[in-house]
Amino acid sequence: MSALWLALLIGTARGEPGDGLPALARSFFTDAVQRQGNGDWRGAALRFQKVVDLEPAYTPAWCRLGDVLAEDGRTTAALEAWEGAPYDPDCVEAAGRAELELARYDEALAHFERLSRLTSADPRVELLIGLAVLGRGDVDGAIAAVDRFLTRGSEPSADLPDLVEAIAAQLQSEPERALTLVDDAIRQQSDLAERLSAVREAFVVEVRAIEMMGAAPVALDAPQRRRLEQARRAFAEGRMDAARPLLESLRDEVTRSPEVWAALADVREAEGDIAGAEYALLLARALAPQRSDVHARLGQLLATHFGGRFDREALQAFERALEGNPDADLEWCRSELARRVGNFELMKRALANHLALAEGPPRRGMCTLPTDPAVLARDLERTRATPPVIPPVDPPEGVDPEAWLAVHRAQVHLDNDDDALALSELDAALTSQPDLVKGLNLKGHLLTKGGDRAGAVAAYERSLEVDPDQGNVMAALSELLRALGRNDEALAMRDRAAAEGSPVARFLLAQEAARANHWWEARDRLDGYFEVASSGALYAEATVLRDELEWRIRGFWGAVALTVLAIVFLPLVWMWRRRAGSPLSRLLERSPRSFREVARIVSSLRHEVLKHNVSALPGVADALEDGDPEPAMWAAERLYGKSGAIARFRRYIGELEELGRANQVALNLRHRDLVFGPLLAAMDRLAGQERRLAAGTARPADLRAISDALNQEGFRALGRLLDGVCVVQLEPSVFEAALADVLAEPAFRGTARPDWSLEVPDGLAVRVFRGDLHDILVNLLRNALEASIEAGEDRLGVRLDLEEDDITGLERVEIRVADDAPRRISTAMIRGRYIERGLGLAVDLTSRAGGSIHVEDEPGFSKAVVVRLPLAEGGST
Amino acid sequence: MRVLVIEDGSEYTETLSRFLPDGFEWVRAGSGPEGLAAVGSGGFAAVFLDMRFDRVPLDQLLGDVESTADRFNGDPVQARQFLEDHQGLFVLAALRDAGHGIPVLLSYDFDGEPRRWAKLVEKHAPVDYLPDNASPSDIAAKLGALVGG
Repeated sequence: MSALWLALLIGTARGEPGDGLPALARSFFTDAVQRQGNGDWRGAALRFQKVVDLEPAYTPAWCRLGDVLAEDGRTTAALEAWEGAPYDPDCVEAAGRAELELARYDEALAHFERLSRLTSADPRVELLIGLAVLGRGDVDGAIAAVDRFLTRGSEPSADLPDLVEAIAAQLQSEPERALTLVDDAIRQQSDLAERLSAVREAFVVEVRAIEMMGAAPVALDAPQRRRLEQARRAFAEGRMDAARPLLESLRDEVTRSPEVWAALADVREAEGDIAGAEYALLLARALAPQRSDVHARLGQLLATHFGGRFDREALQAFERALEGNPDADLEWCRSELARRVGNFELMKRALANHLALAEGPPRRGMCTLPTDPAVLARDLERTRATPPVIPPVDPPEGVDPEAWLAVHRAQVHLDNDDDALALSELDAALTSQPDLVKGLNLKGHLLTKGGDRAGAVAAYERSLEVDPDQGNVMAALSELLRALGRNDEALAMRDRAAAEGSPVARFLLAQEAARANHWWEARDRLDGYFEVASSGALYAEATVLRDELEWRIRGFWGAVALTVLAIVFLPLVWMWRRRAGSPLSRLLERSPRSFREVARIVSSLRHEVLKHNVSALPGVADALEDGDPEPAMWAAERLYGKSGAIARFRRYIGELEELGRANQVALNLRHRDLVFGPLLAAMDRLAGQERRLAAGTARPADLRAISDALNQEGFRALGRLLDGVCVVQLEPSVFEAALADVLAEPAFRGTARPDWSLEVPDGLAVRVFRGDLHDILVNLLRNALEASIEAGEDRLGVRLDLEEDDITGLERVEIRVADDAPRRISTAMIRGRYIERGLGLAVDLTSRAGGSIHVEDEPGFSKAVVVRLPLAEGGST
Repeated sequence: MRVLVIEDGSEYTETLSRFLPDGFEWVRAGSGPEGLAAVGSGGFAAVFLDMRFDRVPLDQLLGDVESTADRFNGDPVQARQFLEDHQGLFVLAALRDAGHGIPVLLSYDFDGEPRRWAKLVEKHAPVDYLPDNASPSDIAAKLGALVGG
């Protein structure tokens, strides 16, 4: 400790000079203090000496005398002066510090122990005691003194960093202990962080390096990795009974696998075995000290399961997890733990980091204490795991331990991005051990990072010469060779690396295959990757790639399945389309009133489309055979184009379909209708002839075939359709059914069946729709029956006759419904505005059918209402 | 052969002239009265007679709408349509009433009405028919047979 510092310290500790002294002594004291302030040590010493001579009990004068003598370099005299006031703490402290300066540690310790008694065990004195005992070589005593200060001290002390530095210097062989001491000191006095940072960093590097040296984790082989994956899946699915035995068997097989221990910790924690989980995590940490996830898990475990008793340790674990691994959730935990240990400065910093990193709210429950008091109480009683002891790992045979440690120090520097230091350590290590493979590999990595590719290649190549079976080194070398443009060598090296089991090389090959859309190859290569990796930088990326490949492959097979289904089902759909929908007859059955519109369209098809257009096709065919193309060209003009016959044909078909839709009938004329199906097919064939017909090159045989289909068969079929849909055979049953319906009406309930004479010749048919005819007959019979009942008669007669038109030769069937009622209506009365007597419907329907209705005489009856409907001659044949 | 084509349009005349230019002369008359006049002027070996005349004015239709309307409950619209649809037969009857025995080939399909056709033949021979969809060569053949017979 410097004399100047001592002077300042003592100076600031003294009271108002000369208080309570007689005048002469005070005069000397005041003068002495002034000289002391001016640095006149000798003058001051003479005057302080006068004061003590005059007033030997005035201890401030002894102290100041000692101070100025010390300043003047007369240490022995100073000590004598300070000892003149053995009960003045300032003097005793000054004397002790002077003894420290003189390396007389026993004496110093005696002074400080007295000082401790005089100051009622001021914690700061512990530091002085620590300095003294350290001087005596008692490092443990010094550390104990620091602990006592840190435990009891609340005021900062300038002695703390001195003592910590001094102790640390003694603990080079125990860096972990030293680091703990430094960290404890920094925690107590955060302003020491900067002062002690260099010391701390050195110990951190040392501790990490030693950790790494001792870690020596053992990698799992491919089957073991598969079992680990299986266990992880079981854990994720909550099947602990499946996960635990798998992990325990793996643990027994590969005791130095950090992955297995970490996974086992998860299972144990889930099962409530917290001590077991902690033990597993401590082992995982020891085996893989660089894995931040293990540190984070340990921090989490300590923060949540022990009622807050080990928050400092948990905080350390989170801080370690955050080294080189910025993470919003971990920063949140760090802030939470900092809050719990009362370090609000740290909490502030951690929160700021969290906010800078966070993309959403923090993950809850990761490091918070339980809120259930019962759980909390149980956690406070929970015992900790006994720290595991891992057998030390010696350096590889023939490797100098110092070089080995230096390589690991380099690794730590590299992890800390302190490349220069890392390189310096490596160079030192490789100087003594030029073939140290780990050192060469690290150097290759460092040089790659620094852009010295050629140097890196040299380091890796040398490494491979020493140990040719290093897949990952080959992979790194491959990348370098590629960057240097030595592509062939690079590819060969990467293949070698993959074959050697390099996860990186296998992943890169899988990625390359995936990019080239070689999905199966990529999947195989990725399987190869997962055989050798169950964690690491590429693991997450590989998992994503595997999911993507699975998705693509599943998508491919899905597409294949769809294609197969399509191949199988398309014909079914085609068949369904052919079978779906109805023929025209369905429309006519369902909606009899559509008959007239159907008839109009069908008639137009016959007359407008077929009659004057298609009928010319045989003539066109003849002309073409005679070498005359002109009629073909003429026919083409009539058939094609927007107003051509084919377009009109299709418009009429569209009208029919529209008519069907309006009546809730989906027509399928093409596939379901025996008349229109062939017509449409033939019309399509005709449409297909457009170019050849226009060019006069159509084949006559084709035209004749089309003409036959359209103009012969189609034309006749349409005619039959027209006839068929509206022809009703006049049989007695038609009339009986109408009478039965009339008698079933409420108005005629209880009425006896009239005396009924029915004369229906065989083979007569009328051109009227069946439903219409029924309605007409019901209407006529009802009217006749009502009139007869009114007249007190019970007789009805129905007789059929034929009437022929002279000019057209058309015949009409007369349906004469006779009764005995007085003749109160006339033909005029049942037509037009005179419609009455309930015959309006019959009048309307006969008119629609092209018939007529009259009131006429009827032999044997009073009258007859006569309906005339066109005879359907075809219907009688 | 000089043939009078009585039709309300010109489709038959045009088609027949195009496809049967040799051996035939096709002369068109656009209505019943026109056809009667043409036949009256002479020089035709036969008449090719359309059945349906729905493109001529009412005064060019043979037959009486008022009396025909009785067949249709007094509806003149249906009566006119009846005259239009069967105008060929009204023209044929008028030709025969006027004393013209010229062979007539009707464009109409009587295949389904043999009894009716037989009666018409009995009344109006020489007469024959071909369905509307007959090709020009069918028409030529039928006319040849009708005139030759």
